[in-house]
Amino acid sequence: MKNLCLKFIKKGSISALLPAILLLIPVIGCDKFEYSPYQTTTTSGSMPVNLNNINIQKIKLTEPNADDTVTVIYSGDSQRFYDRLEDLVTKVNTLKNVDFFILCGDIADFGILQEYLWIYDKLDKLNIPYLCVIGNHDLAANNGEIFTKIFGEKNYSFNYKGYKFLFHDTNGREYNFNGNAPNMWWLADQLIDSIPNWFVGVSHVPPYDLDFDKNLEYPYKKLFASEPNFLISLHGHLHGTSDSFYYGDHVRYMTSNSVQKEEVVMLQFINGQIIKNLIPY
Amino acid sequence: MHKLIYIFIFLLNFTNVFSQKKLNDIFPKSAITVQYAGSTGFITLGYSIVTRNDKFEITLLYGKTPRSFGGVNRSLNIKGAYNPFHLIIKNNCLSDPIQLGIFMSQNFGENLGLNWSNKYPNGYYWWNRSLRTHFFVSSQISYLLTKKRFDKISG
Repeated sequence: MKNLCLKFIKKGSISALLPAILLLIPVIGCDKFEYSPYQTTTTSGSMPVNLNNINIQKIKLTEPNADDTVTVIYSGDSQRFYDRLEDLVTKVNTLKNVDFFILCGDIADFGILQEYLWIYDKLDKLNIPYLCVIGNHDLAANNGEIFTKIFGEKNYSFNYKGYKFLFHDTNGREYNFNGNAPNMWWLADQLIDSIPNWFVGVSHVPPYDLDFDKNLEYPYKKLFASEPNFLISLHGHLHGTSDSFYYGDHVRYMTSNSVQKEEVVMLQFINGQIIKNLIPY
Repeated sequence: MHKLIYIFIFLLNFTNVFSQKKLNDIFPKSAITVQYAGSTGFITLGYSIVTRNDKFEITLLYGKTPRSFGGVNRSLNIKGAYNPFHLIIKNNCLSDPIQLGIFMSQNFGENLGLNWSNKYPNGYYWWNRSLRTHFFVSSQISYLLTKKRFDKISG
């Protein structure tokens, strides 16, 4: 190797390399180039960040002028269903009086950056704000670093028209069931809030699934049931719709189709009552 | 891990079938390769063997992605390339405006194990997270250093 390098220098090839290096300079750092499929930042450094917070601000801006009904379109896993997501976005844009759109985890399939950028391209065409919660696939590469860069915290909440929405991480298996997902302290803290009239949970893995931390299933459902105004817990993960009072208490547990199923859930929250409609696309 | 062993066995067989002499006959030229980006790292260095007519080359590459792009990722790659045509720029300088091929990339990094952790049941995630196969199109400039050797810059 050393000899080769010496030959390289002796023959004056470094000066011959200059045109090639000059050709490369304008494109170095351009997003057309990928250094690694696992990189967590685009090559140019410019990428969407903190989208959940930005969208919460947009939702709140509409609050003073809106009626007291909250209308939400809620879908499960988008993963690699790019074409169907495009159809879903087109459909949602035709619907009137929808406050926001929820994508309930597994935004990406492999959890790598390029998938998020493709999904972002589709979601960005929505006329209404959208919020995403973290799924197990979003944690499969880089421990969710890309999700948190683009969308923000794994656990977050906001109040809107008397409802408090609690978006949280329930992907227990990804943390080897270490007792921290879901974060029970964070959830309990969120429920000590006198401003909202009702509470709505949003997370990826439903508590009765094998990927939920079994040691936390009972405290989780008990915590929700302990709050009389906790209405519903929304989930994805199962790629199909289900809707029941699973634990026999007042809390409703619902899952939504994944994006490729071409049918999405619309929920209208009216004075603590929920009207559910399935919308094909 | 099993896949790595299969690749290793494949490479052993490859070298058995194509003995050193045969390999030298088919790929008489060699080159040092420097590559920018292309999913193997920020900068990737490699050693290539090249056919007499410069149409085909096989390269073993090692690349590194800096921490600022998300952890330190390293990759070991084996790459087969086809150069459909050349443009001769100078006596000692050759350009391949279009280069086509395939490469396999084994990635190593802070969050990239060879296997999925035991916390997952068998087959929970169906893909191998660190071994990837890529098809590529690239451009290349080669400089003749000795009569046998062209050195490559790819992008």
